[in-house]
Amino acid sequence: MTKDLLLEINSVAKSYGPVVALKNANLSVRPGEIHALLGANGAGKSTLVKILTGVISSDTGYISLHGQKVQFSSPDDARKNGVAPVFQDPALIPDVSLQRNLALTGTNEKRFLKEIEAMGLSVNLNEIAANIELPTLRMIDLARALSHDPELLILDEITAALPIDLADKVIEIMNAQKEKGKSVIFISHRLAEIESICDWATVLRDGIDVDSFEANKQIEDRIVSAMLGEKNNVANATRRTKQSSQDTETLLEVVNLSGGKNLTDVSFEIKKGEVLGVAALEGQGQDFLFEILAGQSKPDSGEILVNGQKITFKHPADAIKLGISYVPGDRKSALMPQRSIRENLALTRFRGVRNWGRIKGKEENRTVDNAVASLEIDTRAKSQVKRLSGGNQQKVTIGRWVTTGFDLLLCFDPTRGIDVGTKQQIYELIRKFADEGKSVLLFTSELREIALTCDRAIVIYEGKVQANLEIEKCNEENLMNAAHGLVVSS
Amino acid sequence: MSTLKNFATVKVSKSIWALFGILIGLFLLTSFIDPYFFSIPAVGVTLSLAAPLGLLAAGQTICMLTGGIDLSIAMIAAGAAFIVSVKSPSGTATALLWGALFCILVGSINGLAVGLFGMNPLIMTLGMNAVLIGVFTVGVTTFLKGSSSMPEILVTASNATFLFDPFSWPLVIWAVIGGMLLFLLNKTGLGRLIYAIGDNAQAARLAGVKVWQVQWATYVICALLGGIGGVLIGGQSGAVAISLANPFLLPSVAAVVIGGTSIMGGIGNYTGTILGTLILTVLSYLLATINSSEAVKQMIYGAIILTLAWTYSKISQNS
Amino acid sequence: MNLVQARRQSWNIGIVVLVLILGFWRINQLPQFGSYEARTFILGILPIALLSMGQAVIIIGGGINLAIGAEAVLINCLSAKYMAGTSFTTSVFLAFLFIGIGGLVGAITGWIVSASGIADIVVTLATSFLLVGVAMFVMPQPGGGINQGVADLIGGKDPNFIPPLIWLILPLLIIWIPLYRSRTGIAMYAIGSNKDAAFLSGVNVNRTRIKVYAVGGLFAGLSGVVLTGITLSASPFATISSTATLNSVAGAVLGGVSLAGGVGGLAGPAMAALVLYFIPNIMLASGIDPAYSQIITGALTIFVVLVGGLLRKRTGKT
Repeated sequence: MTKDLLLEINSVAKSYGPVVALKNANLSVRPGEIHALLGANGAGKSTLVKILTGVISSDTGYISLHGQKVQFSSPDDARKNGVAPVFQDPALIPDVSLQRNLALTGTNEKRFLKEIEAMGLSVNLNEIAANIELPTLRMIDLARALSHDPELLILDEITAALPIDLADKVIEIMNAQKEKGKSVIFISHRLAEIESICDWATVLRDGIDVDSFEANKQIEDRIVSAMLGEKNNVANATRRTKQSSQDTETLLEVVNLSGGKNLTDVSFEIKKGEVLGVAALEGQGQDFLFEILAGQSKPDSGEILVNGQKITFKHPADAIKLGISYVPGDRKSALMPQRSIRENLALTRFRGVRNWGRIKGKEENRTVDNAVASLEIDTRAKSQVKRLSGGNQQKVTIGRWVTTGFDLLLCFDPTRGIDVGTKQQIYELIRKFADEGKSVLLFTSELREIALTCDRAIVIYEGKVQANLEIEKCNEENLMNAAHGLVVSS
Repeated sequence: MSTLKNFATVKVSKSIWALFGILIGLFLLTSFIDPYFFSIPAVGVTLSLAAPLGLLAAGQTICMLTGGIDLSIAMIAAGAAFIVSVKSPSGTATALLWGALFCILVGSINGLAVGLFGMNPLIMTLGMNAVLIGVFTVGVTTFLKGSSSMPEILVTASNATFLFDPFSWPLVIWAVIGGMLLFLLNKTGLGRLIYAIGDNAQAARLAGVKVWQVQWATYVICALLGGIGGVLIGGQSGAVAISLANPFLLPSVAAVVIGGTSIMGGIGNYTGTILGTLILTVLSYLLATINSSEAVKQMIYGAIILTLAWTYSKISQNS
Repeated sequence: MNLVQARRQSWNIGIVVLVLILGFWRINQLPQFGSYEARTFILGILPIALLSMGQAVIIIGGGINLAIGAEAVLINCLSAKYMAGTSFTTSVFLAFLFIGIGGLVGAITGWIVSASGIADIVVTLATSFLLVGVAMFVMPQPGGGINQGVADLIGGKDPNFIPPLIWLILPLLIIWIPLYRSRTGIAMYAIGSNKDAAFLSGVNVNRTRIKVYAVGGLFAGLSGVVLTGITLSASPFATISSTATLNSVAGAVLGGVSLAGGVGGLAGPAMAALVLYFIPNIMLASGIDPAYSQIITGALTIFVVLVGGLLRKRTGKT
């Protein structure tokens, strides 16, 4: 343990059952340092922050603060020891006034108001937190953290989707902390910010700190390559070459779609038999885009055309009727955990009152068995899908639509948290759909998958299409750059 | 050859056997204390008395499988019995039709409020319970003035022996309807959806299921089951009164919980509820035999629900 | 003033206006209105108002207690049994003891909910059986009594309406307001509003839940003792317990407490008890069958929850 470090994280690991969230993470923060913590989705950043702030405890490894080993039992405990986090989702009690929120964390009101004033904001302490806009609420959460004079401030993606003026305020605050000799851990997807203000950067990948370096200038390349890692660790897949999908007709067209918290203006089209990739960092509005197309949420404005016909969805059933099926990013929201594989696969067969009658057992067996066989679902734990591995669960959510049939499959990050073998199967499956003339819209947080499976890709940044790339251009550097808002020629 | 034909889980069948063991144990204990209980006529009477509770608990089972609950079921039962007895002068068939219409109406209001307007099922059905008490209290002296006795044929159907002991008409009715319910839950699309929305309504919606329709159907079927149970209760007690089915309300929930159906929905079955019903019925005979007070009875009911719910919750957490 | 605040305020104003309208209506029906009539009003609502407040605390904390009526019945039976024929000081001592037992029973209920992970509804349904059973065990037949001096202290010597009014307001002043202002009070709202955010703000969720149920139990105990003071007896019936529970939920919801948790206060439920009291009495006096009041109470509860839920949907809270 080094005395002149403020914080030292040593070989911290954390697993949830079979899922390894953090393998071996190390991090050192000096006093008066702004330290960027980087990594792709699922690299382990949020797990590390949760351990550091006492939300969860680590399996192995230790944390030391000022050279003293510490183990925070709760976020409150961490705050009292000078470690204050601010999360993307502010930790304020929604139904309670700001004043009472401050009292709950023992925050000095005067001090808090001074911090708010320094940010150039004004708030009414009697206001209920739920009534405050999200960007302001994040600033309030930040001001509350500052009121506790933290030695170490942890900002977890709080600049994402924050208006420029407020994001600038956050940067000012970080610099002010630094001048006072306090430290900041800054998690952000905006590389430009990191370059300009951070002193040091650590990159996490697959739960390991793969690179740690001084962050002065022109570090973009180093960050991107550290985040991407070895490029040939995906099972023996060959890079796709372009297919002649250009001449076929358009299946779906999206025009100026906006809605939700982050989706501002998205237009694109997808052809029959085409796999269109969608790349974006977290929180750019892509999740809402998929929900709209699936009939799950309603857009604020914009049009959706299927086969040239303008359509609106009132219910997911309307989308399914038009052949649009949705595999959501969160497998839990698509599965009935306590029911069998069979019931999960056959669920869509019973939509509509006319299918409420007697189950046609033989027909169901046939389709279910077909899906099980063609997706190679492991049926050893068939009685409850919650006992299946993540990969098999994902196969069930896709298999459901194989039994039903579809024209367009909306796949939201289908390979997140899944083993390499199953990933490979899913890529092959997606290509098979395309060969059968079906279309797939694939969002993935693993950029290399786009080159492996897609015919074309769009990149969404801050709710807009930042780039529209043909397959030849879909290398990870281009996608990563576009995803960070940099211009990429198409 | 289907690889997935048998989807009954080992856990469920284990707990069913455990319940069956408890039932047999209780039966033997009761027979030991009161040898008369170990006779065919006594078993016949017990089974015929269990039938109405079995039907109310059936309604409660499907509601709880969807993640809901129907606390108005006792008043629906009493109301149906009331309407049947009042309308009996115009013929038993007509009277039953009126009773069924009443159940469909009340079930529809419950189901649509829960399904379309997102009402909390507990509050909705508690409120409906109060409304029904009021409607019938007023009705007795006004628009529902008339006969307060059940038609002769229904009294027979609620009490008489069927062919020979221990079979009785109520047992036959229970068996037929119970069989239909088991078929509904295990072999029909609606049954699948009842489990599906109870386990994860969001997933069902994403799969294109109109969840409100399923909830509507569930509460209507529940009300009809309650109504049939109510007619049997009315037939067994001879005369109807508003408070007729009140003593059945909490046991109907208890029978379902004992049977292993989760109040959070998605897991459980009617077989468990049938065993739960029989356990409660034998238990109340046992408690009556040893002259235990109402106090002890209530405490034992409470302790059983709590212990079993706790056990089931630990089992599902550990799996 | 924005949407949610406006809704909350308008709800409170609405309930006050409703109480005033119904109150004037009821008073007009009476040949005269004096302290005797005022005392009747207050005695009529006191037990159920206290119970509604107890239920409100629990619902605010994100739970629901279907056994709260049973807790009150149990304390009613305990107090009527052991206070009968005692001296003034013993009765007062016992009153505090039994109110404390109410709190203890509540705390145990909260502990079971936390430790077992079973839904509040199932746990409290089970404890409602248990507690009614214990109540019947304590007092198999209706009866019992209380020291007359203590009874006068609770119900007031006719026509003195001040003591019962004090018992209505005092719990608000000495239990609720200090609690509301304390960190524990905020924590109670926090676990009802958003458990995760509460945890991140340093709230011990399980311990707070136990406190929530304990406070609910204190109010239930108070309600039970007050009932003994008013009726000078106790009745161990399950129907009393379930009706009281239903009314407590109706009162809390009508009083502006959101079933989703984290929203509302205790003054609203106390007012709501007045509404629930006036409706049947007005009807009875107008020659309408009081049974209609059941219909209105039930329909009102449904309507209030429905509208509250729809409003919340529109303002974006799910």
